[in-house]
Amino acid sequence: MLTYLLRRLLFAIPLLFLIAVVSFIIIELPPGDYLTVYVMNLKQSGEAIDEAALQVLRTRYGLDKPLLLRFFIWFRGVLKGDFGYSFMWEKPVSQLIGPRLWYTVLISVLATAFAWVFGFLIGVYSGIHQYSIGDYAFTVLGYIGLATPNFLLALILLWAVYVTFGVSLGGLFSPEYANAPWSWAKFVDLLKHIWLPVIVIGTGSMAGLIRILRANLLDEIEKPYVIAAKARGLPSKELYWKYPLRVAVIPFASTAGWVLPEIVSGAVVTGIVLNLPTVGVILVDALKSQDMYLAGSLVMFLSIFTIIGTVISDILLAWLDPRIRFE
Amino acid sequence: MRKVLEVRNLRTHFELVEGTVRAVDGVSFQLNEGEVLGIVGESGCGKSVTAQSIMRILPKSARIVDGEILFWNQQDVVDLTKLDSEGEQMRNIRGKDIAMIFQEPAACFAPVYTVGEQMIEAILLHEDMSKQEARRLALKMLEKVKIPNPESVLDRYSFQLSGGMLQRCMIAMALSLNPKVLIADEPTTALDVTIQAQIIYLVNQLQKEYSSAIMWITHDMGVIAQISDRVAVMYLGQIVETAPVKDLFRNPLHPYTRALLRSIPRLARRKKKLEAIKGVVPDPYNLPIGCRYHNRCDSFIQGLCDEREPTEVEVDVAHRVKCFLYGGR
Ligand SMILES: Nc1ncnc2c1ncn2[C@@H]1O[C@H](COP(=O)(O)OP(=O)(O)OP(=O)(O)O)[C@@H](O)[C@H]1O
Ligand code: SF4
Ligand SMILES: [Mg+2]
Repeated sequence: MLTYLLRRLLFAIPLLFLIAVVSFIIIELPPGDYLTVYVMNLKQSGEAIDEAALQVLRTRYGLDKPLLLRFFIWFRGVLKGDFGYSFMWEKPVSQLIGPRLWYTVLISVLATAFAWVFGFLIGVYSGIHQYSIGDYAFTVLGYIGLATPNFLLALILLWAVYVTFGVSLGGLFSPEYANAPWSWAKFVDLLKHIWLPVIVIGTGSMAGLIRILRANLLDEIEKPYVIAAKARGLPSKELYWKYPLRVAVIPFASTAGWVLPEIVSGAVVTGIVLNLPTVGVILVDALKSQDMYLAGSLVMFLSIFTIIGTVISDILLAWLDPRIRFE
Repeated sequence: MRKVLEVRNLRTHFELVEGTVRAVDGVSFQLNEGEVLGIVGESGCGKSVTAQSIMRILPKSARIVDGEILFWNQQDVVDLTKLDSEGEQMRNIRGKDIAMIFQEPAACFAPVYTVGEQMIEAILLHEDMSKQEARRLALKMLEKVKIPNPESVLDRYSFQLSGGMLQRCMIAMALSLNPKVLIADEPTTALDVTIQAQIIYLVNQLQKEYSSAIMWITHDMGVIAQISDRVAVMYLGQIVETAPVKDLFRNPLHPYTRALLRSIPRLARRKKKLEAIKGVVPDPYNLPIGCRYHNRCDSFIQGLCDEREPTEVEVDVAHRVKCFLYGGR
C-alpha cells in the first residue's frame, strides 16, 4: 500500500509540470506579449503611458527574453506564488484569485460530498429495492437531474425560493455581509446561501453516481461469492453490506476521476449564473479580454485541483480494492 | 444405516415471464450417514436447483411448490421446506449442519477480503469462540487439506491463489464446522484433470475422518465412479435411476444411464468413437408428455412411452429405475 501511495504521488509530479507547461502555452497564445496589448489598450483609452512602470514589468517577467527562458522565469515565479500581472484589474494575479479560488474549492468539495453521499444512499436503496416504487421514483428523478443543464436548474431553484420565501439567494452572501469581516452571523449567512449552488452543481453527478451504484450492486448481488456467503449462514442484511456493496463501491469511488472535473467546470458556469464570488466570472472575462496571466493561472489552478481529486480517489480506490494494491 | 437427509417428491419451479420452468419436478432420494451419493446428469437437468432447494438459497424467481426435505438434526427431524429461508433456524443449519462447496472456487471468494477473513467469519457465525481460536481452527483445517504454507494462505486474497488451492480452502472452510451433510456442486469441473484427481483423493481421505454424508453433483460419470457409494441419475428435473455405484456401472438399466456410460472416454476403448447422446434436450418450458426421455430413447415404445409417465420400480436391492422396460405401468 505504501509503495503504491508513493508511486501514485510521484506520478502526479510530471503531470503537474505538464499542467504548468500547458498553462504557460495558454498565456503565450495570443499574438504579441501581454504588454503590447496593455499599451494598446492604454493608447485606445487615451491614457498616459508610464514607460518606467512598463520597463519594470518587462524585466520582471522577462518579456524581452527568448521563449524557453520566459517559461522558466514564469515557472520560478509560480513556485514563489507570483502568477503574473492582470492588466485588466491592474493587480498581481495572486491578489485577485485568492478568496475566489477558495470559494470555488469550497463549493466544489461540498458539491462532491453532496453528490457522493446522496448518490450512495439512493444508489444502495435502489439496488436493494429494485423495481420498487421508490426505485422508480429515484430513476425518474435521476433522468431529470441528468438531463437538466446546471444553469436551468439554478434559475428554477432561484425562482422557486423567491416565490415561496420571497428572498433572492443569488451570490454567496446577503448584501450586508458581502464585505463585512468574518463573524458567526456571516458564516450562518453563507450556509443559507451555499446550499443552492451545491445542489445545482452536485445534482448531475449525483444522478450519474446513483445509476452506476445501482447497476453495480445489481450485478454483484448475483455473483457466486454472495451465494457462497449466504450458504455459510450469513444473515441477509449483513450479507448485503459486507459483500456485494463492498465490491460495488469500488467503481463508485473510481468515478471521482470524472466527477471532479465535471463539478469544477460546473462550478465555473453556475458561478456566473448565480453571481457567486468564485472564479467563474473572472475566468470568462479574462479569456474574453485576453488577460492571459489571469486566465492561465486560473486554468492551472482548476487543473491542479482536478489532479488532487484524482489522486485522492486513486488512494481511496487502492484502499478499497486489494486487487489494485497488489498489482 | 441411518438417514440424515431425505428429499420427498420435491418440486421447484421458476416463475418467469416466458412461462414456468419445472427445474426440479418430483425428485426423491435419501442420503445416509457417512455415504457419498453421486448425482449425475446433463447440464440443465436440475442438479444445482436441487442443491439450492436443500440449502434454501434459491434465486428470487424460484419456488418450492411441493415436497418435503427432511433433515435429521440430533434427535429431531425438521422439514427444511417449512422453514423461513431467512429465519434463524435455517441460517443455523446452513453452513454448520449442511455445508456446500461450489463450482468456481475463484468466484466464490469475495475479492475484497482475505481467504482467512472469510473462513474465520464462517466459523464465528456458528461457533462461540474468540477470533484467535477461530484463526487456529482455520489454520488447522488448511493443514488438513494439505495446503503448503497455510499461515500465509490465510492472509492472501483469492486472486493471489490458484483454482485448485482455492477449492482446497473452500473444502477446509466447509468442513471446519464438521457438517453432517456436505453438498458439493461440481467442485472439480472448473479445474484441470490432475488437480481434479487430487481433490477427489483428498475428499476420499477426509471423508474417512469427518464421516459427513456427501452429496456430490457432477455431469462426469468418471468422477462418479471414483467418488460415490451410490448414484442417482437425473434427467430433466427427475431422478430416473438410483443404484449402488457397482450395480450402476455393471448393470445400468435406464436407457439414459446406458447412453451416459457410453459417453465416457476410456483409454481401452480409445479407437471407438465417443458417443454423444443423440437428440436434443427438450425445451424446459414445454416438457414432453409421457416419459421425458422418449424423444431421445432408442428403446422407445410407441403408444406407451409418449403417452404415460412410468413410475419408479425397485428392480434389485436399492436399485430403482423409472422406465416402462422394467414395469412401472
Ligand atoms: N436463476 C434461474 N432463473 C431461471 N431459470 C433457472 C435459474 N437457474 C436454473 N434455471 C433453470 O433450471 C433448470 C435446471 O438448472 P440447474 O442449474 O439446476 O441445472 P444443472 O443440472 O445444475 O446444470 P449444470 O450442469 O449446467 O450446472 C434449467 O433449465 C435452468 O434453465
Ligand atoms: S420409458 Fe420408454 S422412452 Fe422412457 S426411457 Fe424407458 S423405454 Fe425409453
Ligand atoms: Mg449446476
